[in-house]
Amino acid sequence: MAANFWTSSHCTHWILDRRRVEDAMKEDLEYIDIDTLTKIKMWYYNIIGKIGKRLQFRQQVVATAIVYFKRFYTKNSIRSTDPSLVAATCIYLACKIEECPQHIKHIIQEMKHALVNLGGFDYDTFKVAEFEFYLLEELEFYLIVYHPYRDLTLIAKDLKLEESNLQTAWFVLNDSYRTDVCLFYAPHMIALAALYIICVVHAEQYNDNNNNGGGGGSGHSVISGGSSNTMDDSGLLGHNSIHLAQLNSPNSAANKTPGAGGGAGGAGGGQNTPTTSSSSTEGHGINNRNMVQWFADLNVDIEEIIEITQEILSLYTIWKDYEEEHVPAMMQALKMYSEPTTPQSQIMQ
Amino acid sequence: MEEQQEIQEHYDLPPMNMTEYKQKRDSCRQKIASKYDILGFISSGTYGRVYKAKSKLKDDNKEYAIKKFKPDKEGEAATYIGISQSACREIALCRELHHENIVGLEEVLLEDKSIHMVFEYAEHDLLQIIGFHSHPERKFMSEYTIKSFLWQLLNGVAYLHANWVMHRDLKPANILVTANGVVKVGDLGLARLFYKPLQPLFNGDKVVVTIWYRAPELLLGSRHYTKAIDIWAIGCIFAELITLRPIFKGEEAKVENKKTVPFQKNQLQKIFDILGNPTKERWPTIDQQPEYPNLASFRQTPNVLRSLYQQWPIKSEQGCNLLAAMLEYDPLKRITAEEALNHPYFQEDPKPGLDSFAGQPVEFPLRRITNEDKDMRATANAQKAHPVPTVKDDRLTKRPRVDA
Repeated sequence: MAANFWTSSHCTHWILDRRRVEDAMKEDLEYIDIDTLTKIKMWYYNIIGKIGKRLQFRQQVVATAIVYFKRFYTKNSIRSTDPSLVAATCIYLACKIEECPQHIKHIIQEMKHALVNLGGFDYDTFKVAEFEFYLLEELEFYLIVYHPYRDLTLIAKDLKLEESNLQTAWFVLNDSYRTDVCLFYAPHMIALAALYIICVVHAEQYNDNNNNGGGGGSGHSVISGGSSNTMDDSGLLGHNSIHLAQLNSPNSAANKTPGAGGGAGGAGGGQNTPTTSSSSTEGHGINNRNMVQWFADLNVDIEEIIEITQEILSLYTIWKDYEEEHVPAMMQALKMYSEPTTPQSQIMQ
Repeated sequence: MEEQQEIQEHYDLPPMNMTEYKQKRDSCRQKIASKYDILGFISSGTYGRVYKAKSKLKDDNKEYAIKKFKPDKEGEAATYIGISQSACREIALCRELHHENIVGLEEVLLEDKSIHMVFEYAEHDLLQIIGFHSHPERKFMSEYTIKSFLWQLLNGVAYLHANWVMHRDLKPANILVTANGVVKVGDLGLARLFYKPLQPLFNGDKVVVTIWYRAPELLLGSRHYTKAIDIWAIGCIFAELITLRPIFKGEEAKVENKKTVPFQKNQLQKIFDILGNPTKERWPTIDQQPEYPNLASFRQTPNVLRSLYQQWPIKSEQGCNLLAAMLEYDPLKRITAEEALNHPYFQEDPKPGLDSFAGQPVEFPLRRITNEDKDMRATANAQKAHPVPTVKDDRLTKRPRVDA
């Protein structure tokens, strides 16, 4: 378990088939389209992240809460449940499992605060505690979750990765929790994909505008398209999220340090990390040929890394036109009508 | 509240209630009484109560221990205030751990606003076995049995430690033994993962480990203790298996207020009486322990462990070496579970076995179960669908041992 991902419940029970997740979305998709559903979920991930930030949780706690939330919604529709109660309960349970228990009242208070713009939070201690039972059951009582941060730190050390690149990769991991990759792939693969994004896709994009990298079309177009600042304040896991402008200027993303083990300083960087500090066009400083070789030499499924990469990069496309203010209308579309209606017309009214 | 209503009106959101969801889930939840026959009540503690049960499935002849966590509030109406940290830990860890010498969790059931953990049943525990050997008169355990218990206990704990789990409450009552003589480490309610903890261990639980089995670094207020505390406890248990008496039977200083942890002078004195005073030589970082200044008030005593051991029924010198290695003051020098498993003591005859009772003439009493409890029994009776076989109040009957 803790020492061995391969025997953990995360590996044996909670690496899922995509079909299961698609089945769970069917009901919601009768009312809204997939991008809208993604944005609604994104909004709840942001809430969990914001509360984590306000209560000063470590990233791992927030990440665990988000994974619980996702796992719950592999079995239920948003329409038939109240995601705010689910989110609150996920936070409450994640705090206990990650050994930083919070009083249930604190979490309720924070939910009320966070949901001021979306109908408030009408549940008391009793309701949240009661729902904890249902959540435990949906999680099949498998509560220990693995996260890619530890793997990233280890790999970064091994690669003697430049601190700023490690941080950028860390932010990519934060962003990855807005996608469903944690339901489909092992954490170390996600960590590798984050590295792949910053070291290969990004570097390649930077050095070569002809878009030949492994990231796939959508990803590249997003990277070169670069901007939209709507997410600045709602970075997942309490950090400013990496967005595309930042991808193009790595140092700007490095405004916070990742928690543990960021000791892979540039000192021994050697061939992997030549000059990085210059802010000009020469800037990024990853020798991506070395990195491509490094990935090629890995004894892992490179196709899978590219799949994860694409999934994370396509997130940025959706993210680009995510507007928090539109979420209430989306929820309304999802919840209001008892008969399925043409999704688009209802949301965009 | 006013503000919220205003916003709700503004967005005109439909009320989101979970009634339908809950009904759906409640309706497919299986009743405990439909899966298990409750045979009787075993014991209770701060956590709740434990019952002996048998599966209703025809092809499942195994027995189970159902640990029912207390509903959050005692009294007429059970309510929810959230599942306790200890229940959460135990569920989370037991769901992941699978080892011959760790008590197996069969499933978790929710009913009656309580968590029910269904464990494999173990007929005995070391407290009961030690008690049986001490009364009415003391009759020592065979070295084979002791060594088998010890080896299996270390084997289970080595597995926990390899998985970054600290047990933190090892004591005879928590070491279960099946009717086939297999040790099962139980009660992981205090257990914790210690890989890069988000919180220093000390912050979570101010006091861990029952006082007689508590390691010196804990008694001296260490905030960054390690898995070595489990090994100390195993050392104490080893000595107790040999002599049938707790080796360091101190008196616990009472907690006066919740913020401060009292200095356990009496317990430390009991340890020093046998192991001698800890010195900087034996434990180089002892002066970094928070309670170090208090050590000046102790009288000087020599280490008499070896001479004491010579009066005990086990004569093996390697046994004494292993005991001393587990009762090492310095946590860094204390033997690890993995090293202990490879200790020469286990290479000597009698070698430890998988059935700790094998070839022993002793007949242990069955675990006592009673009918007194109203709780689960009442539930079972109310169901009436499957009458529960009557269990006599007193099951302290002896039973011939069957050795394979």
